[in-house]
Amino acid sequence: MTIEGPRALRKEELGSAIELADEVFRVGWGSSMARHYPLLLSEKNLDGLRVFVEDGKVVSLVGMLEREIVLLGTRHLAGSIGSVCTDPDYRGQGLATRLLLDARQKARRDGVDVFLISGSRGLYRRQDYVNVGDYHTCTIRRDQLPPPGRCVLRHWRMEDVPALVRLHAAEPVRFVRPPDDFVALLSCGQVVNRRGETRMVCQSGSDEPVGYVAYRLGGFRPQDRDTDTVTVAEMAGARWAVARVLGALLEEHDVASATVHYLASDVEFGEMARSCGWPTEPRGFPGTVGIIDAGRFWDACTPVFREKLGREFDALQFDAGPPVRIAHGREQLVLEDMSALTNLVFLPRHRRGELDLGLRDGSELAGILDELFPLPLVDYGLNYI
Amino acid sequence: MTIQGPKAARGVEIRSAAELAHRVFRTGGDAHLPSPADDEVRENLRVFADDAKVVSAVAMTYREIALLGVRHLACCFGGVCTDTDYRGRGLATRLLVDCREKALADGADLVLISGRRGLYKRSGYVETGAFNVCTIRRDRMPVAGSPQYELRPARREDMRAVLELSVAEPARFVRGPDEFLRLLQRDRLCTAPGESRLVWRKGGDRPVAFVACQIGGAPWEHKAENAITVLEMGGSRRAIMQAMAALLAERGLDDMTLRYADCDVEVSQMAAGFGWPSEPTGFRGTVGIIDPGRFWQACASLFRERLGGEAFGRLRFSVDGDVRIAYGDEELELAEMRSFTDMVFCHPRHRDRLELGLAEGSELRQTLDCLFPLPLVNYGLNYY
Repeated sequence: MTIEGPRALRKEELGSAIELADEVFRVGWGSSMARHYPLLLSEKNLDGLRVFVEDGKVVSLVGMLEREIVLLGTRHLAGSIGSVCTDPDYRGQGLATRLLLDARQKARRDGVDVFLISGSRGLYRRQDYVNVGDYHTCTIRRDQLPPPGRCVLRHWRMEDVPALVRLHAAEPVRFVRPPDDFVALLSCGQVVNRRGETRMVCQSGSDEPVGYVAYRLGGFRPQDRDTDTVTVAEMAGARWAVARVLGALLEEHDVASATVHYLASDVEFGEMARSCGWPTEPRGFPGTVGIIDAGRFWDACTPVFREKLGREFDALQFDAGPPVRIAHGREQLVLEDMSALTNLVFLPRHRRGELDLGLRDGSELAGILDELFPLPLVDYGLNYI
Repeated sequence: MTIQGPKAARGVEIRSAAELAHRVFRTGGDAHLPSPADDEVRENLRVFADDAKVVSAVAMTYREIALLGVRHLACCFGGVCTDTDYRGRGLATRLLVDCREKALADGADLVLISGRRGLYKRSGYVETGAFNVCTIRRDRMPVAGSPQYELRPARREDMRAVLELSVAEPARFVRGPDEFLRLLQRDRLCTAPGESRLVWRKGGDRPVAFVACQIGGAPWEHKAENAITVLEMGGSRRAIMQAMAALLAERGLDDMTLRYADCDVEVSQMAAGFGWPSEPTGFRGTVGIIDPGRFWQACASLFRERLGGEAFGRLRFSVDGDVRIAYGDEELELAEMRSFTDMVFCHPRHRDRLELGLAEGSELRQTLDCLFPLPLVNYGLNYY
């Protein structure tokens, strides 16, 4: 038979795609990827599921879910890539490589400017996706937690969805998550690929939520999965209230510590962690990232760039290329490939030494780029695929 | 002589307008009027003049603002004044209409006025906005065993960090680094002496917050001359409160006043936790959404996020003189600018005054409750 593809999945092939994903990712789990990833592996997302098919059977799959993200008020269409898998009998033929390229072409047509991939394999790195992003992870023992005060935890209810959306939409760096997405993601019982839940944070005596936490049972890294902790993968609302309810969370799950993931740009939680002496480690995006449409990305960022630079922004010239060229006066920076631009934009402050821009000491352009970057990047949280 | 106007101030009229403002506001003459240095400013100083003497004036300033990431062009009206010999002729009212038409033509969707006079309310502007004010006793502020933070004046080299803090704020005036630094270095805030400081963690390599305070108050407020009122802040609220507690102790003050946005969940939680008695308050002036269509269009992405694509698709918005918002078979008609403006920005604790005429359980009402109130900027570092 001839292998068909790369192309979009057809409705009648959805079962086969889920079967392949389950065989690769869910052996011994007793549940299906379709239940855990309801937005990705669904009839509503057939165009986002890029496949090779042989005789009606999906033999290679790249899952893509297009969703808006907000980075400091600027909106981007991001393509989240996950469930990348190939039937063992068809490996080594470059199918996943071709599917990833196909997904990128489709995404660019759709207006996507950033790819977020939940993996760091050579497959992605060979196509210039890189590990960037600036996040912190702190581990808090029970005896290091603040007392609960008047803050309490409760399960989420359907009538909380407007409040959840409102709290989440106030976060300056986030996935855009309308109510239907919220309901689907809260109902799937998974948080970043492990069993998890979302709880509302309220003041005692009030039903009105002031925050929420989405957490998974166990640690974050594969080797930590069954350790004696819960991992908060996403939060919104009042950070101090969130910290106060962590003790109740530990009690409920009878674990010794909470591991909290937060954006390095989350200055409120960061200061609380420092004040409380919680040991904190930096980490990058849990996967790889690429700015697949440089011109569109730059245009979307223009308002915030202009705000950061003031009138100086008008002297900055950007050519989407390829290669990307950024010029100021007589200076010019040429970024030969996608990884160079992605690193320039998102490489965290403590890794900026890895950038080799070739600009001289005292370069004005280097100074301007330092004013603009790094930009914060969304973390997966509930939107992990 | 014939009174000329409304029109842009020209030539000697610029100085004449400044003198008028000086007479009316008893200020140094330039506090409420822009520098006559460039033509752009001249166009935005709208006046009536009698034989080259300005007898009524309104100054306009355009400011980009960001509300939950959505950008709007706001036009601030300030320095509204009329010579006492020319009052009672409706000159200021006509200037307000003229300014509004110019602001609309220039692409603004929102007007902010630094005053609450009947003049503005009769012109359709409204007192609204979701803010709170509380007096915080020093013994009810978060403190650490030893001071963890210190307050320092802003420097040019700090502005990158300050802007990173500012752009994460849910409602803000958009400011470039040079303007921001100039505002942080001023010794006045709104109508009173003021000082702005950056909050640094001791031993830290960058500021973690900024705070702008009035010291004392305007003469009519009768505040102690060293009283502190926080009007604007950005960054870590907890760091700000710890640093301010230390400042109060240093200056021998027992309390300070804090104005904060109702959407500021962090401060709201601190207020609840530390027992700060908070009262709802509004924008420190009057507001009008002068172009509802443009305003709504700017908010569309946010509204779609809040409602989801399907519900947002069912929501219909039109402006044909009146604003009409429909959802399914229900329709809300808002005949005046003040009604729409108040629906968008009214404090949650005052929303029962809106009288939208929608039944309990109305789908349209629930939909509007999901969208509003939106946060609004307030006068702090930016005042006009």
